[in-house]
Amino acid sequence: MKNKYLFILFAAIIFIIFCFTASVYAEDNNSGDGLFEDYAVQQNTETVPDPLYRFNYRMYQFNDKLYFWLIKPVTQGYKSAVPLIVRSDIKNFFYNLLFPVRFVNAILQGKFSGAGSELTIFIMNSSAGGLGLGQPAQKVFKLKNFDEDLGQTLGSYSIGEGFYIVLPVLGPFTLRDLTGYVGDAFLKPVNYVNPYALSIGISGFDKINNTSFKLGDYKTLKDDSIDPYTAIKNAYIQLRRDKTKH
Amino acid sequence: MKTDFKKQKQFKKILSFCIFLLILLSMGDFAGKVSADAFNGPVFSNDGPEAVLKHCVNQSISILNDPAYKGKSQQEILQKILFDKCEPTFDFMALARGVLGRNWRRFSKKERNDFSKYFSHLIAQAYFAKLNKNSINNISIQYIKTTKLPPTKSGIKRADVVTEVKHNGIITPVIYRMLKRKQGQWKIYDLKIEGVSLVSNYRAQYRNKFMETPEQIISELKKKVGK
Repeated sequence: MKNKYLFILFAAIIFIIFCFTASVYAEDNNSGDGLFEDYAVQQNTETVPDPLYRFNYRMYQFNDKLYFWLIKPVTQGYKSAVPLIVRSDIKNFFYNLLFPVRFVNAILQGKFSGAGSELTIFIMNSSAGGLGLGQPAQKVFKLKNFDEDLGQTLGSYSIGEGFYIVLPVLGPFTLRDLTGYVGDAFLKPVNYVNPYALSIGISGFDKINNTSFKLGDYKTLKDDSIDPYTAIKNAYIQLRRDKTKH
Repeated sequence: MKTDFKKQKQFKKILSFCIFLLILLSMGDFAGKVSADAFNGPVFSNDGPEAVLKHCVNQSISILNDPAYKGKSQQEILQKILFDKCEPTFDFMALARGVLGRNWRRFSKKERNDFSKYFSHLIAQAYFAKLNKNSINNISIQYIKTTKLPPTKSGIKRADVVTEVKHNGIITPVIYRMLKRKQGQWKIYDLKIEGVSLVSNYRAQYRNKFMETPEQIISELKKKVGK
């Protein structure tokens, strides 16, 4: 068991080295009137290279089918059976469990007041909130969560994004965020559940429950785009960059 | 069970609808309290960006609450009216220009107009089409602040209007990027939902289309909006 984790850690380090060396394509940019001048600056680094395009595209297609054939119908059934309040509580419960990820990464980024806020929220919601089912800390005391993860931490250390990669089931990543995802796995209590099958089952349930809040979003994004693969890639990268900035 | 199914369907509508509201709604907690004609006054060219946005939002809500447009048969008319009402609040030409990026240079004047027209319909289709009255009353919008951006060299004023949309306990930040030319009112020319800029996203998609002629690009868009 220990060897496996060591291997993962090793892989993570290799990833980080890759991130350092991976170059970022520059794009020329012109849009008159200067309305989009600050976009030009953004755009210069907006394109994350996609050397695995063929693989990524297949994985995108696979995930697309997985969503429409499995995840969507299952989520629809689940959603009609379980009322909103219960689903909301479950979502809060799993969110509360991810406290170590947010706490540790807030500290790694030097955001100590954020870490303090996370700790207070965790203690309050785990006790008064009933194992995290409720969120009195946010609702009554107006405390704010700090959604930090290792990908953002690495970004705050000025480590490059590397390239774009789409994995089956897990979806899109940049090399940096994938590294972060692997590292964060150590801080996720669900991953310590034994046996392994149960751990995966719980993660799957968490995913279905989460998806029940945004059912239809994926289809909307796809329907409204000219080129869905690029739309998803771009949205993912913009989202991650925005998170890393804050 | 049957009512559950109905509820679920309704909820689904609300969700997809939420995205539309991200565009339209911006500030205050005015769910269902808006009277039909209180906000239908004209927009003045010296109104600030958030006032213009608020005006557009309130107008849309009053249209949605208008009993004349209930019923399914009225849906198409409702959408058309909403589009006409909101259109002046958007600068679709600037939006199209941002979306096309460097492709813009290759477009003739007429092609630019066509593209901008169809693109405005794509946006409308994406956000207005999923519209119904039930969705509004579940959402609250918080107006956070307006940030002034440096004006362009040609003297166009710019600002970011920052808002938060709350739905089912989930808070989504929405930023409207607006411009004001020397003549005319404040207009939206981009919006960022959860940090994802609409213009940047479409621009990335069109960046791959540098091999296609403007006609091809326009006809593809035309097919997409079904016109």
